[in-house]
Amino acid sequence: MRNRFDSQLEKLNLELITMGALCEDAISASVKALLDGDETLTEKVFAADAEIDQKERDIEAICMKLLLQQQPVAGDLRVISSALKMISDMERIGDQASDIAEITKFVKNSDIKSKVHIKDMAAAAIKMVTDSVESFVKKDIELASAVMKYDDKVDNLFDCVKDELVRLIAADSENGEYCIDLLMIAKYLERIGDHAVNIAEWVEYSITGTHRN
Amino acid sequence: MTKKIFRGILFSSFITMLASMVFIIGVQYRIYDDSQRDSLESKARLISLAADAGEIERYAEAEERVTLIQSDGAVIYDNKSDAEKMENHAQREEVREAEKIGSGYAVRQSETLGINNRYYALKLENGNILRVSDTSLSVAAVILELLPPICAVAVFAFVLALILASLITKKILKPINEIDLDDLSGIKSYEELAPFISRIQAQQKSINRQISELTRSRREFEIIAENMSEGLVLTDINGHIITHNSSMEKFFGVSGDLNGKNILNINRSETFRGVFESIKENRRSDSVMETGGRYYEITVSPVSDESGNPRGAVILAVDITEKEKREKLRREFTANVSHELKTPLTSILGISDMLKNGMVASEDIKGFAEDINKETSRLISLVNDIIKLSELDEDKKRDTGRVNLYEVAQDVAERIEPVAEKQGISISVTGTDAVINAGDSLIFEMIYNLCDNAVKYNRENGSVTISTGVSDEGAFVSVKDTGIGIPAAEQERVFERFYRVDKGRSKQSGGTGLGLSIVKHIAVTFGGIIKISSEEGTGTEITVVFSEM
Repeated sequence: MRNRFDSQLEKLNLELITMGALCEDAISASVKALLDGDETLTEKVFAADAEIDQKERDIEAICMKLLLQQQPVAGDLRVISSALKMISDMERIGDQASDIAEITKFVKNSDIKSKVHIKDMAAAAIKMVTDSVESFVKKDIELASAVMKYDDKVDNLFDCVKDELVRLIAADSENGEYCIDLLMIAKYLERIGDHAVNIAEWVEYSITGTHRN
Repeated sequence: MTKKIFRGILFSSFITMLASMVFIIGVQYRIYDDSQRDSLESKARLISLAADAGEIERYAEAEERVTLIQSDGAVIYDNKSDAEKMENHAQREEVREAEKIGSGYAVRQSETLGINNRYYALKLENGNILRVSDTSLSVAAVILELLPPICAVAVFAFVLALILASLITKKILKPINEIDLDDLSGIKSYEELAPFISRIQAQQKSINRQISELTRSRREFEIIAENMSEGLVLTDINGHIITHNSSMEKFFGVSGDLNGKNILNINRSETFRGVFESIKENRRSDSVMETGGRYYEITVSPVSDESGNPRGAVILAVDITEKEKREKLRREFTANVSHELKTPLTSILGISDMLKNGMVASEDIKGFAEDINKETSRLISLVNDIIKLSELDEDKKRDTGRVNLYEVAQDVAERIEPVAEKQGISISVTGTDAVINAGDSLIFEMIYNLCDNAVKYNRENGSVTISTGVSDEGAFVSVKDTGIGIPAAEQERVFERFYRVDKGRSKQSGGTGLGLSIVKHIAVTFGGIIKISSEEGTGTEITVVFSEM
């Protein structure tokens, strides 16, 4: 019985790692599509997003099965409940990655993106997602709290990008539409950073048993 | 064992004790029985004297029962009961015996429990039979009588046996308990245990040997795994890491104890997710992945035991960055070659088309012919360079001899002087003899290419200085010009095939873009190192140093 429980828990862990990795792939691919204008990558993002949605349902099913059949307590219960919370954040990351890919189709010819700090922001957001998944894989509390702190950087970059875009629109209203698109992308990236923080918080909760906020 | 020995000793001592008690009681009873009989007999003889004298009445009050019986069995006298009422005694065992042989003895159980009646009959001189009888305790009664002391003794003996048995057991087992199983040499124990001890010793030896063999082969494996440049991971069928080497950690930037964890803990990229799938499905797979700017080829080979059951997988990660880069270079080269070959051919085709269709005025034909000539000679020099390069690429053994760089430099200077003079460029050769082991035609080619470039990319009335000599690092040849120079960012790239700093100018000067590639190849072939120092607008100095002389 216990063995079965352990193997189910391990399966949950693996599925979560896979789902996290898919999120990393999705966001990396959508950012690459945005920056390099490689449109084949957007297809990859949509595929990854679909897979992420499927994984969310799979993991939900595993968690429910574990909760109903094994009635876990203490640490195991924490792991499962934090998994349930984590997957919704991961799913949101997947959605936002595919939203970015969607917008990318319209801004691919614009050279405005080289004028603003969108590249730094994307790199920061990817780093946050990667680190939050990494902190889950390694059960690393320090890395998790580093992710939470790193969010400030993404927020600052968002403000920075916003100011730059405002100035660009003022100077060149012709490209106003592109600027708005880029602003939305920046907002998505900022949201992705927030979701990465949520994941990191749930990682911390699953290890320590206390959740921030 | 302690319990069994203890119980054995206790049981046997108890049984022995019981047996000896029974025996002693038996013997005692016999003696008692005999003495009773003897005393009865002597009493009977005493009474018989009185009976003979007719004074039997004297025993009327005696303890014993005295009976006088006629030879026909009728009782004449009895001191305990009325003789008249007594039955005929002729058939009594002791009476019959006395009748026969003069005396008789019999023991009969009394009606009272535990009491025996003893009868002794004696034939008197007058033919009558005197029977004396008394009572004695039976065996059971004797035992019953003795029971309390026997019990006391038994309890005492039991306790004693208990203590002794425990002491003896300890003593017997002490040598066995004291055997140190880790160090059996020189052990002194029971003879009976000798075969076991020697057997254990032999087995210990063989176990130790096997352990050291296993340790050695494990060490061997570890050393091999640790020192291989490829990343290696062994996993079980569920993708749990059994062992991995440090190359793997280095490749994927992981550390810590990974054993027992899932393969996805090393890396969770798409490739590794595929690796995990193929481990579970027990099939072979090959994939290439990129991480941290390097390319790795990941091979998964399933492992099965003797009976063919899947047991896990071996994952090998090979760094193929160099290969991948070379592959990229080769692709670029092919693309470049095709492009470079196509350009002159296109203009030749265009010109010849025009000529064929008579679209060229006769006075212009000469000019077009010159164009064709120029393009063709460019093609030829390009093809020659490519041939040279591919010859150099073929890493075959070359004829080498002693080559003096100074002499070769002078030859080159002589050859190139006419071309240089046209642009007013002066060429000078300085330095001392520098003899190396190399092929002279290739060294000539190398210095010629360097000088050719120095002249081509020089300014009007510039100068080219070739110097040779022997420095601390080895023999060197350096070509210095006063030309346009190479920007610092591009100095690394000028040795790449078809790489040109200034695309327009080089076409015009008729270069193929392969000159410096050839220089580099030749230098490398003979163990030379190329150094480049250049400043834009001032000039370039390229030095080739041969450390092996």
